[in-house]
Amino acid sequence: MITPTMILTDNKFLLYRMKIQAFVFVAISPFILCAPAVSAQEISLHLYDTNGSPIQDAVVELLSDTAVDSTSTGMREAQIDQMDKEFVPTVTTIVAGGSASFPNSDDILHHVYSFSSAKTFDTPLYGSDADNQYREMFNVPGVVEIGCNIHDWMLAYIYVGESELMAISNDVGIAQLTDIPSGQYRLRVWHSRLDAPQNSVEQDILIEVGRVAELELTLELVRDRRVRRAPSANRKRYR
Amino acid sequence: MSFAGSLFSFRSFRSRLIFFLLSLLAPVLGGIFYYVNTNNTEYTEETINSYLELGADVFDYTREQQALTLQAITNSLTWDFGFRTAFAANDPATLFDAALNVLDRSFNSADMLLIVDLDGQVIIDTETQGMDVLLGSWRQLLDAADADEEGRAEMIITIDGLPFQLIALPLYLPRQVAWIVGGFSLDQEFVDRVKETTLSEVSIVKLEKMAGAEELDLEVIVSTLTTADQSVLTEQIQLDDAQLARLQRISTMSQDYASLLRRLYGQEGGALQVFAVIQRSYEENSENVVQFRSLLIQFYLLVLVISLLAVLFLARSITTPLSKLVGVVKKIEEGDYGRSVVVASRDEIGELADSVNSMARGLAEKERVRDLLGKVVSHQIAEQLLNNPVELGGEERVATILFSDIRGFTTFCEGLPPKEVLKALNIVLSTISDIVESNQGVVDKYNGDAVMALFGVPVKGEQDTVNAMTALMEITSALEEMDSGLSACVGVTTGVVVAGNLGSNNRMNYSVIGDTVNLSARLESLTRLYNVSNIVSEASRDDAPNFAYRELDIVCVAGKSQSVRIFELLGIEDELSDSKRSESVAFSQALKEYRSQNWEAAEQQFSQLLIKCDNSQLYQVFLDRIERFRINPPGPDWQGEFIFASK
Repeated sequence: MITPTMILTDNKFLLYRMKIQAFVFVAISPFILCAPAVSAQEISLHLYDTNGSPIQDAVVELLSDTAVDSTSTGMREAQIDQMDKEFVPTVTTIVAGGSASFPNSDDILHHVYSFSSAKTFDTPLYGSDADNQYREMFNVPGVVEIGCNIHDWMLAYIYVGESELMAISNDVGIAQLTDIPSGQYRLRVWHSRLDAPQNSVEQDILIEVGRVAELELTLELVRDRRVRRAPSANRKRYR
Repeated sequence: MSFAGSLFSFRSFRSRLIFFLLSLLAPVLGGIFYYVNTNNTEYTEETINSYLELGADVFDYTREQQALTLQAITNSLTWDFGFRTAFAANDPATLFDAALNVLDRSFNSADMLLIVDLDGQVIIDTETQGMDVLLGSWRQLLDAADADEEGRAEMIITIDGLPFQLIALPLYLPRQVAWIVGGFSLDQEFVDRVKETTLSEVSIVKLEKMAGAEELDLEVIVSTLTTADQSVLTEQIQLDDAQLARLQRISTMSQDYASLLRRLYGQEGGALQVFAVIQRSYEENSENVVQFRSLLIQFYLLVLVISLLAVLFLARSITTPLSKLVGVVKKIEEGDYGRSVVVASRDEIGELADSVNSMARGLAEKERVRDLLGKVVSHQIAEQLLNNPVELGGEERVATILFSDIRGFTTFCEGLPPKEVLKALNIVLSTISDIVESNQGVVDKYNGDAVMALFGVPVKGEQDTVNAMTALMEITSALEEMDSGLSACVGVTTGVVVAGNLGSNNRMNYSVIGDTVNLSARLESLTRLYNVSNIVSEASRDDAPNFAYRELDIVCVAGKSQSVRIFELLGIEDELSDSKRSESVAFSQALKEYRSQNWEAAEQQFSQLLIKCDNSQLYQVFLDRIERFRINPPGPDWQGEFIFASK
């Protein structure tokens, strides 16, 4: 549950989330209270888990009912590399209608697949010489979980957003959105381990002109159950 | 004799040895048997129990191994791209077929598959239990898997009464999208396989509370036991947690089983509980025990037989020489010293035999000595010598000494070869010796044709002098009866003698010495002078008064100052003839006149006697003395004695 105790805009609680998320709350830091007004509208989210550790690789998306004129174009084409039998980066954001390519930087073959409802696909086995050959279009918003059929531990997420106002939290748990047009938005936070339907929570947020919002969110994560890469998998190489 | 005494008194050494051998061996062997048997039974039971625990461990291990196989199968299934594709296709019917296909390929390592989504909705179930949402134990299984870091959980759940070993694993696509549960049934095939490995009986039983019933119903699901033993099992087995760590002993008609429990499903007091019962028969164990016991008994019999043989041999080695010895000793007792025992052994028996042999030799030698002694000296002296310490010295005793000589022997010997002489002498001396000995006298020595005999030494008799007198008469008449012209002349005296061993330390004789002895010899020689067959001293006459005597004279023998009265033994008083008696009276009268120095009367009376009687020489002696006393009167103090200046 997101519980903004004090925010620049009026906040509405998402009642259904309150029912299932008892221990998540949002706090405004004293620094934010005293922040002077600036010309550009920005929002900065600090994401922590219940242990107080920063949450990395969470996607923050601002959703608006009205069309938003955005200057960002980098959200339409993404590249997910495969290096040392891992997807890089782990979380990628794409605006619906965008595409992603899956280059192979390893000297062995990979077989990329997804059974996610947002996009189901699989590539044939391919190697590094087929760079950029395999590109998939992602038209339906949602999260696409991609894996490699050869290497079970390889797992990456493509967040297909409805808007271009998306950011991924860094290693200290901060996700920043800048140049946000003022207006009423829904703030959606997604993380692969977030303990909520579709691993995401939402709340309304009002972005006012010239204001910088700093939000601190504490999210409850479920334990990460995933296939672990065996230590020997790094050492064992064919030939 | 007490009962114990009579119990332990044996007629033979052998039975005594056998009894003691048995009484020693029996408790020892019995004790060993008991100890070994008890320990062996205990040990083998322990062995069986440890086998059983091993069997239970193998049961667990087999179950775990199969669970691992199941896990491998189930796990690889989650990575199967085709299966993933089928799952993603979201078509349960296709997925069901795919699952059946997997089961077919599993070589019976997997018997069922169930796929359920993360919300617990059943997607497929090859056992078609009709569950839409997982409930009860199934829910617990997935909760346990969810709680596990790897998402893995195991459980045994009964499906249609048959226990299944289940494993739940996450299905990744590539994130977890579902749970996949694989299972294999703990069926007859399974228990048979465990039995093959462990040689233990395996049964899977369930306790179930039937609807409306108070008691839990016990039922054997599968078992390697026979149907009969299964029903015994259901009657005897106790199924509760307290028994889990313990061995139960279950006795069927045919054999005893050690039994161990494994709880497979449910909890204490639960409505449905499933147990595995692993059992091991004590039979193979007791076969070993019986075999060992019979081996032990055979060994004991062997030991007993060998011991008995050894005892018999031992007894024989003792009793055979012993009975030989007994025989020889009996012979020795009978006086046969000539036997000797030959015993080869050098032990105590051998020593005893040697001792008996040397004892026999010693006895024989002693007997020879005694025999020889009896021949050389008289029996009584021989006994005296043998029974008393032989040492020089003697004691003063009153004894009667008889001296005998043979008159006319020199004439008899003339013209005879020495051998004949010796032969004749021996006959005479033997006769005299026999008479002496028959009258309890002792022949002291022979001296030519003379014999010296003792009465009263060494053994004092009741009437020694009487015996001597009897002997005297018998000797006299014996020689007369020989009718060889020989006659005996005998002197007898009674008085104190010194009797004992005379001689040196190395060589000594038992003999008597003293005046009495000398006098006896003098009296014997005086018989020639007086021409009588015997002369006895006054002491002898006084000591044997029941005979008839006549006084011969009073003499003072050579070397003696004292004069003695000497007598002639005439015979037994009552048997004396009248002529003899009258002669004796007449002689007494004449002797009286002689001593009264009435030479005329004496001469007249002696002369009459000389004419009338046979013994002219005796009377002539007195007539000669009267002749000399007339010329040379003896004086008024004369008592009638006659002095012999020489021997």
